[in-house]
Amino acid sequence: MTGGLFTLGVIIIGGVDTGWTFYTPYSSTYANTWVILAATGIFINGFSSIATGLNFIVSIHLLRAPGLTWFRLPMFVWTTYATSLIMVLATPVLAVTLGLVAVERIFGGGIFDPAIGGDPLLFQHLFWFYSHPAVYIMILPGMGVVSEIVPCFARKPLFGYGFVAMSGLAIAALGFLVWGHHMFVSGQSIYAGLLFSFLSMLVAIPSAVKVFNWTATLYKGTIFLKTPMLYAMGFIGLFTIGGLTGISLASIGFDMHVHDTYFIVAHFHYIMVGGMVMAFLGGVHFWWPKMTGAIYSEWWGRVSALIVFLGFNLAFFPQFILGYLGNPRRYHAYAEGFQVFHIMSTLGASILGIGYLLPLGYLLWSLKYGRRASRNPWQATGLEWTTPSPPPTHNFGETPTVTGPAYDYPPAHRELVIGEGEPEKN
Amino acid sequence: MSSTSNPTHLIPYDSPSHQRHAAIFGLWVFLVTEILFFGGMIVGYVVYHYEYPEAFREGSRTLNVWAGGAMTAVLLLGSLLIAVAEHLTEEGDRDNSQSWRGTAVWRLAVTACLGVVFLGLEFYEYHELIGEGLFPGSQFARQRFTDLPYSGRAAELFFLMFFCMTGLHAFHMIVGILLVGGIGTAIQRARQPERLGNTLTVIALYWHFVDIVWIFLYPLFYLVR
Repeated sequence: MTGGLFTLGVIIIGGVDTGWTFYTPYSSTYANTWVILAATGIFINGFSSIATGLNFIVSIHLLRAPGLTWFRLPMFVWTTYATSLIMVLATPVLAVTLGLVAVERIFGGGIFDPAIGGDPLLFQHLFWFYSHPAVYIMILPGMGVVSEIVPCFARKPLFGYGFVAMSGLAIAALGFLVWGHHMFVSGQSIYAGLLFSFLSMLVAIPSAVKVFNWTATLYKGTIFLKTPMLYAMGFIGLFTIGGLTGISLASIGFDMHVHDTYFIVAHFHYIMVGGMVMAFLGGVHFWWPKMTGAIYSEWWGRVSALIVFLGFNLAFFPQFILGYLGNPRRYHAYAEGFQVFHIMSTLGASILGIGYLLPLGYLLWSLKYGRRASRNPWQATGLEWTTPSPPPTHNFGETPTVTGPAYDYPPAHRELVIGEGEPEKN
Repeated sequence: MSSTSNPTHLIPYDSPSHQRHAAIFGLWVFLVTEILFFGGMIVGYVVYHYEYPEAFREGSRTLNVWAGGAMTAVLLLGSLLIAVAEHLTEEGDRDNSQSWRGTAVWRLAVTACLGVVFLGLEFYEYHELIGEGLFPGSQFARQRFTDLPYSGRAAELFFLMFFCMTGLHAFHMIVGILLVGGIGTAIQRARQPERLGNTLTVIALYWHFVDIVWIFLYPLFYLVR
């Protein structure tokens, strides 16, 4: 929070004119704004990321319940583990980089200033060494959420558990080797570019393993299209589009063509918004009864999931076309021929906004007026569903012992009722 | 947090050894983040050393290699003492005797003092360098290095890296001295000092790490002449 106060404060007192990447030498030599203050905020947030990651890693290693072996862990725990590894390994590098920018601004040395012998590309390398893995920090937990939701609403065990778990770690590991794909046009050596291009394409393998395994989980499942499931299916589709365009972008020739255009914007949003935000909303709807003890309106939930999906696609799909046709990003003006796509995009963004506001309304409404949730409204497996909703301070009266695999879903009868509130039976 | 039925360890743990394991593991993960923290700067050092080897040789010649050597020796002695103090605590834990307390405490006190000596030497060197105009910035005495690239400013990069990296290390030293002094005082005053064993182990690990960073910094700056 302290870090957030710094960065928000900076926005209020005048912002920074460096762009979000803080590229040197703009940020170190030329920027005339609150760079150091903003860097301080990011530095403090970095500390909290590191501490959080450290906590998760130690907890997952040493505080698992008896019988909860590594390969019985819920997939969300696996992806949290992979995320935490990235947080503890990447964040310190960003911290020290920002520290060097601050030193350069305060003392006037030339670490990143080419005019006096420094190397601005060094900043980009250090920056992207954190900032590429950072997008995997964002997407991996989303993949974990989807891996929880899909088996529950298909009433089948997760297909290829081991592969899904390991592909998360593989994404985390590969994430450290691909930062140069943000720098294809920066003047780094062409051989470095080739290598980064190849390594970036490798990321597609573990990502595809996940997508195929989720799809295989759906195969012959008894699928219940409840709100969380709608979001999870949205995630799978949109993430696939985002991932495939990612492979295109990893090829240097194509990247040269669409570099700094709307194509990048669309790709990024298909992963981050179509992927992560969809998974986040799916997770909120999945665990809302557990977290709050309240059941929200299923009808409104489905409607807003649909609105989000449609609005998102209308907002961002036209941007792929715009980018391919050459509309650069970060300009407020554009050629006349592009107008129709921009209108579609704006319209989609407005619809998307409505889709995001709706859950705020009906979820808050459910807190006061919704039916009370039972311990396990989705009839899901997993330890969290064995405690009351919401869970008491000490989650479990006595330490539970785990005896079976995660996602031990029985084949369901069609008439199985899930998503209903039940009177609390304690 | 400590539950009354189980006074030797905190709630989420099954046993004291479980808690100890978690504390040590957690600190190791933290040290990994520290390695990457210093690693970012070492990358910077490597890049500029590669680009301006002559400037780094010239810069290194202005540093006092004997003072640096003495600083290294002081740190290594401190590391030895804290390792002995930690060993004493573990033995004390086993025998349930308290005789170890005094010997452990004075070893910790000496370790902290050696840390202060180290910082004294380091800050004296900073003082000298700044007096000679070798602190990076607009007043940097680049006329001394006119035959180096960028009319001497390449040497400025050496001193920039020197002050950043040893300064960051000095900050870790200050934290370490406070921690070692603090745990020494706590052991002296505690009614059941053996229960501070985990804290001492964790602090000792941190102290060793900060020493090892110096073991890298010393050759990088003092011995590349």
